[in-house]
Amino acid sequence: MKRLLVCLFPLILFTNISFAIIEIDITEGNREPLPLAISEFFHDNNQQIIDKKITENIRTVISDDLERSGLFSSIDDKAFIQTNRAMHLKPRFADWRLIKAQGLLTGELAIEDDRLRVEFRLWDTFAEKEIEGLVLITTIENWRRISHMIADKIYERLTGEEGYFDTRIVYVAEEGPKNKRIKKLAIMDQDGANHKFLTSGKELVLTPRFNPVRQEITYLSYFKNLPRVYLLNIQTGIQEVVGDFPGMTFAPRFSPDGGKIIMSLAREGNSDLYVMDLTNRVVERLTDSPAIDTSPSYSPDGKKITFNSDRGGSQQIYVMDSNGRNQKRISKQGGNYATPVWSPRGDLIAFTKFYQGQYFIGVMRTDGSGERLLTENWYQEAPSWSSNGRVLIFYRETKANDAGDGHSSSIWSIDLTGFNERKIITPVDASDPSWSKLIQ
Amino acid sequence: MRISVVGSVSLHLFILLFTIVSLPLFNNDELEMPPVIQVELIEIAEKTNVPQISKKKEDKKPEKENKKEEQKLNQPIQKPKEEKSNEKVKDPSTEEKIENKKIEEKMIQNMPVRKPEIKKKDKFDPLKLAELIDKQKDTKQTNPEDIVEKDYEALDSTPSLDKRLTLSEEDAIRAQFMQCWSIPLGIPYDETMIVKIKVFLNTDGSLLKPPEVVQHERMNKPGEKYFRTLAESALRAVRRCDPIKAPEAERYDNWKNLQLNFDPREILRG
Amino acid sequence: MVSTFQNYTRYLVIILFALFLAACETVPKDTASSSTSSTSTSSSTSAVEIQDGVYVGSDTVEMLAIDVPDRIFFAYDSYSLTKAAQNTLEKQAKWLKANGSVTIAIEGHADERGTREYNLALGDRRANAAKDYLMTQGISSSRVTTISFGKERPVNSGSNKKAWAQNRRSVSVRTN
Repeated sequence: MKRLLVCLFPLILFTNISFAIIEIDITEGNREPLPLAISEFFHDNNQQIIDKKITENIRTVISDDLERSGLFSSIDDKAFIQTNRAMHLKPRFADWRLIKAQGLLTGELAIEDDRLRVEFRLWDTFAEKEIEGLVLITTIENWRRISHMIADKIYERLTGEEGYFDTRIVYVAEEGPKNKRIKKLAIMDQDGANHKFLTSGKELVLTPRFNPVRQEITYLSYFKNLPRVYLLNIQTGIQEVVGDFPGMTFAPRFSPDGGKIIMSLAREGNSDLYVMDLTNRVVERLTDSPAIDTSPSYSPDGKKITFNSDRGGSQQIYVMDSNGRNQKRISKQGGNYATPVWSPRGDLIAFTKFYQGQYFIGVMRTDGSGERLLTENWYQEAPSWSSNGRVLIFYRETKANDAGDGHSSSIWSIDLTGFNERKIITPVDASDPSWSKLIQ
Repeated sequence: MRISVVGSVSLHLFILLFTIVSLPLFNNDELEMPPVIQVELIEIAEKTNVPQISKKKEDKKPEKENKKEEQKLNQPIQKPKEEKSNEKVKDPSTEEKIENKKIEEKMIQNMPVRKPEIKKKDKFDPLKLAELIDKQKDTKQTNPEDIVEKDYEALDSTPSLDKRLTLSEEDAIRAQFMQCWSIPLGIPYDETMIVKIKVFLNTDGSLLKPPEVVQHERMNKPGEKYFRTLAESALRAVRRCDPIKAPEAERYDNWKNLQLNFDPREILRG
Repeated sequence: MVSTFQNYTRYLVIILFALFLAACETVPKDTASSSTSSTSTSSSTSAVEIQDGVYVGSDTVEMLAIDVPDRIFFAYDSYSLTKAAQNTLEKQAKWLKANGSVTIAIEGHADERGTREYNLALGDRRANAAKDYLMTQGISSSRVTTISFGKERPVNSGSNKKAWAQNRRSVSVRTN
């Protein structure tokens, strides 16, 4: 028996050794966008109702959404090897790996009771399995939203984070010379589609902002030469002035629950912050300093407010409790700061910074630490967050020459990382963008 | 006698238990899938051995500068994988240039219909003070070369160990997985965002069996979507690299089982 | 090694440029050519058009009546009244007293080098600074309203120091 023990011992030792695995740390990798193959969705040819354009466009919309995120690249469909319908049931993964696809999207379309039925599957070409699949049913005209929703699902499945493609942007459309600029409210899908003007341009309008929960916008209008904060219901088109204030109200923004509007009121040369409850119209004054207090923005939990003030002698960013207590300056890196906006994740505040003659869009933590400047330009301001807190949009102006020509204004987007800066195409000049939450 | 019987039985039980516990195949239903069919044209690194690398370090300098500039200009555009892999392991050659051209053509084809305007980062704009400072950090990290190079520098002084991998072997393996791994850049920084993958290899460097995620159960926990994303990206990397250019076969025992720690924390911290 | 060297040169260039800019700050010599220095050489209507950041020329100025200028100018991010501004407002007050039925609106404006919302507040400050001065001169507040246009209505569409100085203004406009 002793001998048996002796025999077993080396065996135990051996097992131990064979499991003392060598570890290799991989702390760097490929930062290129993840290559995806997005195939055109199949449908039965006898179903003439589906326009060939729709099937093509669904692919394009999804592909463009994902590419614009900077996290994915869409492989040219000319490179596709497998093009038959069987791919939706069992893709030949090797074929897709051959063209470097790490993910594959397949889908089928059908018309059922005059409604569009879209089924999609997302495949991991290396794990050789379906990792997401869903059927969406809608009216045929709604194919764009379906496409954005599919792009959102893919984004979410592959990044672990909510998508932001089924969203809209409201902004100020600008036309005409600088000194007689005509400004209109305009709304469009996040990708520029379904563009629509909301006001005629007769009155000067500025700084529209989405209600986070309702199809509603608050903005500043110079209606009857009285600059006041207004509410506009996007669905009904009904506008109303917010409150009855004895001076200019401006810089409005909704609370996270959509039930309040926080804004500045200018009275006899002094601007302070006020909040109005939209249900009972009760107004509360939040700041009382002889300085300019403006550009307020709530934290996503509604407990804090960040705002812009020059009470210390220069424009800086402050944070306070939502009842106005504990006002504290947080920006401290030198230069002037403006337009603080709390991120939907709650951990960051985006801002505009004016420093040594240049304008920057940046982010900092809510205590002012960890400042990161994402982009720098001759003039840019007014960041607005994507619903998932990954992307910022803002507007940028070009310098005019001495004759006043060459001025333009446009909306840009940039990732939180400072990469993937893109211009958002609008039919005319654009400023003051505000990004909606995911459409409900 | 009784003692030895009890001892023997308990030891047997122990070994049995040990094998079950340490061979996670049994609790690993997610990963039971057919082995990857090997058709892919993954550009595998040519074997990186010490002399080659140290020679390359000198050759690389001018190329590196070019690369940096190109990287800056192209920032938001997708850059095809091969470009980088070539850069890292091959000497610059005309062949590569042709290939790059092809890739660029493809890149253009791949662009969305409505081309987004891409801001060209003006490298020499001295006004971009803050941005430069900010981005500098990024670019430094962006360039996997720097890291590879740093590791290589340590090589020459390192003696090869018997039971382990030499540093050059380890680096060669690491470099391959770095090329294959598409970092999921969308996930937010978190101290626990590291995934350990066990890899079992054949003598030819191919996968003996599916790779295993050490914290496998964490992948399916609600609220661990980011970890799942990370783990899946690491698993794809392992399969994408299959087969790896393996170290010498006579030292198979030293590298047949590897644990790869995919650790994007430094990158995600920004 | 290469990259660190690049860094140094980069910083050097930055520092040099910063110095260059600093020089621009003290001596108003705009890179966009048409500014104080160039106007003094070319169209020498007035030798100096900007003093301490405040426009002191007469371009863009309109008259409410003979020798009653309609506007005053401000320094960057400032709403304090210069001697010249007080002088103009005194003239306006005298004119308002002489024409007891006239009511005015004071429009406050800012230049384009500031964020939109802050500039609305700044324009309001400037308009009210002018209004307050008129009130100290004995004009009833009921005859004077204020409105801020922020940076929305520049009078000079250029993007240079002179344009900005001309745009930092408050303008009294007859409302009846």
